[in-house]
Amino acid sequence: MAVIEAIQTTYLEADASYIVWTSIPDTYEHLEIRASIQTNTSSTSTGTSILYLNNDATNGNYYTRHQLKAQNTSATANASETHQQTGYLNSKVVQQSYAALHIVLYDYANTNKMTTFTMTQGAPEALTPSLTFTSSIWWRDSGGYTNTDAIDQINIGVPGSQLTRGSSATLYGITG
Amino acid sequence: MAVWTHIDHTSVSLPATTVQFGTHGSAPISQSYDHLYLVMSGRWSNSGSEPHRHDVVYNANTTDADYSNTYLVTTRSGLVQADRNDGRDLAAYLTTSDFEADVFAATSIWIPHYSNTANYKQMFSQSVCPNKSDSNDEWAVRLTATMFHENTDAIDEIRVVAGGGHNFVANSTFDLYGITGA
Repeated sequence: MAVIEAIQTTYLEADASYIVWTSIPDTYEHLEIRASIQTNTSSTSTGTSILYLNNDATNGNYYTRHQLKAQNTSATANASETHQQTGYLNSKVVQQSYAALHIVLYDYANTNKMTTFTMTQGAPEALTPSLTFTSSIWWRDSGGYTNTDAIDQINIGVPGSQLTRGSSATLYGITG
Repeated sequence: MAVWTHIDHTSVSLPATTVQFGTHGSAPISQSYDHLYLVMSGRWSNSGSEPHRHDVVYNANTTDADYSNTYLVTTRSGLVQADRNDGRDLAAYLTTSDFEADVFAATSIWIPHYSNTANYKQMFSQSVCPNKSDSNDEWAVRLTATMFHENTDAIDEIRVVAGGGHNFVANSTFDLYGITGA
């Protein structure tokens, strides 16, 4: 068995609300996502994407966010115990411009711990150019406040907007 | 030959103070790769409201002056710090027993060209200490560049130490990978 296996690649042929992967096997130690994404907002601000786990896509309130951020010429940080974000994305206002996203989900199948994940995002030459490094945990599912479920579904989306045609992402499994 | 090789996996089932890959000089980490990649998911047995920085020791060298670190870190909204300091405990975090239950810190460390004997060794680490909290100093995000400059010996041992006389808790996991080049 190879140490790194490509589980699935999604290339959007048309605008869509989410990139979705289901039935993710629990046979790996870690998961990685490498993506090139754009949001279809036509406003001058860029969208902020969210990583939803296990189809918990109806409410982004049950994740944490701790983030280092460079935006234009400013460096800052922010935190939330209720809302997650992967970082800003490029918008279709600059049609050829997509954001880069790299996500690692550590020990995602271990049901003795909440899944910790890190997200590195770059949106260069966007209307709001930014670079972020973010950590997050998903701390609640519908059943309670200590969520140690194994991760078997991932949705990537932008609340209130869509991902544009040409956005693509690959899910990798890394063995341990 | 596969590009990535899984060298070793340790999942702590009982509290453990140290996880070690290779033994300096006598049973070294294989030198047949181009780069090493260490991935950790860990929690500390001791209490403390702030993230705990733990040791990552190369070639059994515990002299802080031989570890030069430049880093970007935040533990508070609105505050980013950049600094440079010596020490073997500036690259990786653990959550503590006072953090939200079942939450583990996550760290990945790249060690490029670890087996060359012509240069000092450099490491790049990404470490996060999540928590169900947005209060100051109860979480952390850190990027660190480390130079291990005791000598130009190849890296043949990596020792990860919980520190303070305390342990990694059960379900802390450690994976070491070797990556080959063309």
